Amino acid sequence: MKNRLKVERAILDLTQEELAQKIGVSRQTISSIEKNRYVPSTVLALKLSRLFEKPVNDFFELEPSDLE
Amino acid sequence: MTSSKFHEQERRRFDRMTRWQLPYSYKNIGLALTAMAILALIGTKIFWDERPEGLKLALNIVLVLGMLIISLAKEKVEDELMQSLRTQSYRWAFVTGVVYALVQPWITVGVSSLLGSSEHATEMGAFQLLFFMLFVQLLSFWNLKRTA
Repeated sequence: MKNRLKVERAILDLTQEELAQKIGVSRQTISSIEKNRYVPSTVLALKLSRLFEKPVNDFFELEPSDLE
Repeated sequence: MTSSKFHEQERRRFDRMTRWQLPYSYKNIGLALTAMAILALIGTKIFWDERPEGLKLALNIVLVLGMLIISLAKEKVEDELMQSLRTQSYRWAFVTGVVYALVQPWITVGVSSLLGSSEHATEMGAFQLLFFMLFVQLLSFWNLKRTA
């Protein structure tokens, strides 16, 4: 799964640390998601959706390998 | 109480028990206990000709308890990534622990036959296995955090 978390974070002019604090996770978690090393839970994805005021599908996208 | 309600309560109770952790500050207590037990085990082995078995047993208990406290203590920020890495590390510890328990006695036999002694395969002690599993869990958790 790929994501546009870094872009959305830049739009809101937030650092990884600030974003992490807003949704109650560590900076490392934000970094891991941005590097596609960790796929967040539905709860965390919905928290991001609420913060970015966008549907989850706008910043998380399935890749062909996810559909195999 | 219906059967489904009973199962739901059981599941919630089990979830609570699974998620139970010690506060972050306990990590230092665990580290202190572990370091103290290791130093005491080495010190008494070197400087005490006939170390009492009771003392060795007590130090082994302190060592395993210290490592368990480190393992159960929360991280500074204990979020879902940490929970995921923790789960992976316990899986590593369980699988390698079982393999170690099965293989280690035969390695002892192999090595001793190579060295010309006639040692038989013996069952390993509980503390040896517990130490190994906790060591693998802590090491793999640390490594997963480093590379996450």
